[in-house]
Amino acid sequence: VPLARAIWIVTTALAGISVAMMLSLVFRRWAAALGATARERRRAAMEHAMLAYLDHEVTLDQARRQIGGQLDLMCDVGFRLADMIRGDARGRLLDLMERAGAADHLIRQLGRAGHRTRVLAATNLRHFGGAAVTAALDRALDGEYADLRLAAASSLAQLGAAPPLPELVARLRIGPEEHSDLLRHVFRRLVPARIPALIDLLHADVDPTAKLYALDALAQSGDYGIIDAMTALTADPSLELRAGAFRVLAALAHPAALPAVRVGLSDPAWQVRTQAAICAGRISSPELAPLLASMLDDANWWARFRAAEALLELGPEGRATLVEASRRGAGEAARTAQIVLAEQAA
Amino acid sequence: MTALQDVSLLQTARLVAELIIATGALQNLVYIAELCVAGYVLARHRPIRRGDTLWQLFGDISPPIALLVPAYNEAATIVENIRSLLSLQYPSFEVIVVNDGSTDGTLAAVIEAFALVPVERSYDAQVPHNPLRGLYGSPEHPMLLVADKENGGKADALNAGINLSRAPLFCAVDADSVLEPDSLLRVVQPFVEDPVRTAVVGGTVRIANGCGVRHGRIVDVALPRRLLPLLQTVEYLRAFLIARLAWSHLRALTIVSGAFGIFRRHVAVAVGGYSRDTVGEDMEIIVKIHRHMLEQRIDYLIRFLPEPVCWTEVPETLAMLARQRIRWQRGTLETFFKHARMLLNPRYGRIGSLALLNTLLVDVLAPPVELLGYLVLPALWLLGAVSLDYLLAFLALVFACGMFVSVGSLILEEIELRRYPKTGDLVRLTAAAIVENFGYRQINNVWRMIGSWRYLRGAKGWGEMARTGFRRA
Repeated sequence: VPLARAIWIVTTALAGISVAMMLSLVFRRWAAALGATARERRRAAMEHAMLAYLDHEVTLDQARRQIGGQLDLMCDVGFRLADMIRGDARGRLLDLMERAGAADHLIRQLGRAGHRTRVLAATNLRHFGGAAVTAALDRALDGEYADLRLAAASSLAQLGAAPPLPELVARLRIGPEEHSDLLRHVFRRLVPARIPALIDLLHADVDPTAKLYALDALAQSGDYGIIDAMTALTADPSLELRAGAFRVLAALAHPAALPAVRVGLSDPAWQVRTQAAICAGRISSPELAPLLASMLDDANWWARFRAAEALLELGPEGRATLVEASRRGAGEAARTAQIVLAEQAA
Repeated sequence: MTALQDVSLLQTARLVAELIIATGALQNLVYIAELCVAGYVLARHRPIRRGDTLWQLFGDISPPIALLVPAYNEAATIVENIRSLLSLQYPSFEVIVVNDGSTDGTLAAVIEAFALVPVERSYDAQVPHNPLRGLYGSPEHPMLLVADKENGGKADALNAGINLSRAPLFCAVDADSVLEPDSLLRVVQPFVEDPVRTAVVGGTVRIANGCGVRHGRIVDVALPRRLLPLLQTVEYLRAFLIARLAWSHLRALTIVSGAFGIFRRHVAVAVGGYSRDTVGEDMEIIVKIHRHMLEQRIDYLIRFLPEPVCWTEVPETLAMLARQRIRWQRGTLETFFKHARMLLNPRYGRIGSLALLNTLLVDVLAPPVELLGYLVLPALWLLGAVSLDYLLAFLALVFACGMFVSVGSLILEEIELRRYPKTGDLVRLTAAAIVENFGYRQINNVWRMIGSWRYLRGAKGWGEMARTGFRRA
């Protein structure tokens, strides 16, 4: 019986806690519903004040007085609005917010607030310039959490204030600790200002992950000045770097890469052969047709498929080569050619 | 029977009763521990609320995804669901519907609705499946490919989809499910943030019965009006917001829902795709991936995220629900015993020592033990071996623990996700969390016992699942 009593006590406690928690949630819902109207009204007033300033209905000082004092709401409404507008109006809005204290508020949050708020502050500071902003973001690069470091680096890159690349790689701990694809944002924002530094990074003693993100950024650059560096990289011992170099060359689609593509089409690694075939298709030089045709019976399906696609991109000569291959018996090359032609016809 | 034998029988019965109580207590402790871990995870990793922020973060760096939709006799819902999938917010994806030899006009409905014509596609047959009968596409819907194949089951259809897909990731989606517009952007997050290690990510499955659907989208989130789906709503919240979140955090998740899971294609290919000899293919492929990665000593992650949501229709009748639960139990046991050598084997780390041990406790032992408890304890009371006070206290404790854990899932839902808009929904869910203890919980255990029995007898096949279609808003 004492045991039964103990069980009853535990049971009653569990049931009581459950019911109390649910009642408090219902009450919380009810209270939130009551406060929602007032919140919406304050939000609408904030938005109205910002739009009135953008429409030149009020002066900068008047607008600043109207929106000042509610810094969190100002940032929330202001950055949403900034995402929706462009050009001069966007610049004026951000200037208004900065004068109303948004940048200082975000710098304070970056130093003291909860983790998620700090990450958001680091992200939103990309809208503002100035020594205080870059100094605060630079400090955040040494933060404990990866997402905060990444947000700070991305904002610094956008502001053109990122530290030298090897230092950035080290402070972001790229490699074993950090290999998020969000790094692409950081590296892409370094183009075009830091193209020589990105090429130097490919030969520096840094983790290969950083080099792959540098290649991704270079592929976005559209700068023909990097072709020599990329063709040299197609002979690198690293499979990933060779394939990455062909990815950049495919994005540039310049005939100067033809010699490298010829070699790449017979690379020992199928990943490299596949990227070289894609690159061949982009360059669209008919002289590559025989080499691509010989790839149609490659041991790897992706290499065969990309070679067939590339032949179609070469124009009439490539198509004729593919048609010819499709009529040559029942081997792998003929099957690949037949299906890719049928797929394209449909 | 002698007095000595009576005493001995009574002592044995008492021992059995104590074993039953210990198992029940252990199971409840596991649930409460899961609740604590889930609460901790949700407090630390709050989801990104705004869809446009997701697009800014992941829009231009998200890898392409192939959505694989196996369809068997889904004519009632398939067209609307394909439209829903085609309108998802994601930069690069294609929808591959695999008609698994339907006999109800599923293929004809899709061909007519999307004006499809026969097409060809080159593909590498890397995982096994029954022969394809044809492929269909349309220039008007370049992101849609429909494959028609001989019937071979869900796993077989998914394997066909894996072969046909060319994206580095594929997402297995049930044909009767509706994905939220930003669900792919949300579920892909771990693949972007940790592209090297992330192998599989699962999202939450919620119950669409009662919700309003327009043009293949959930436009009116509401609780089911009927009792049976309402009770399942509490169950799903508990399973997804507590159990899967907790096990994912412990890196020991052994199931990603077949209705909504995203896989790295080359990992699925490396394990031979879905196994075609089980009805629990969604659990089996995850355990198989764990096993492969651990044996090959590859660092990997299998994650669950609570925020990407897929809505699905659940059974509204006892007969349909019974078939589903019996099948689930069979699938769980098939997977457990197929990979039983991983249990407590140090080579398989926490999968062998924690996850499969939990499966043994919760899925293999708990159903018969709990049912035995309902029989043995009253019998002991009739024999005068336990007092009524004790019996009632024990039963109340079992129910209170169940209610506490269910209410815990409602609290997590309310604080972190809050999908049900009306205050009355909270009250109804709370009531359902109490009601489920009286009858529903017990009948579930009976179905699980039947599932275990059918597993032992070597039953095969899925059984029928009639679709009612979504409520139009």
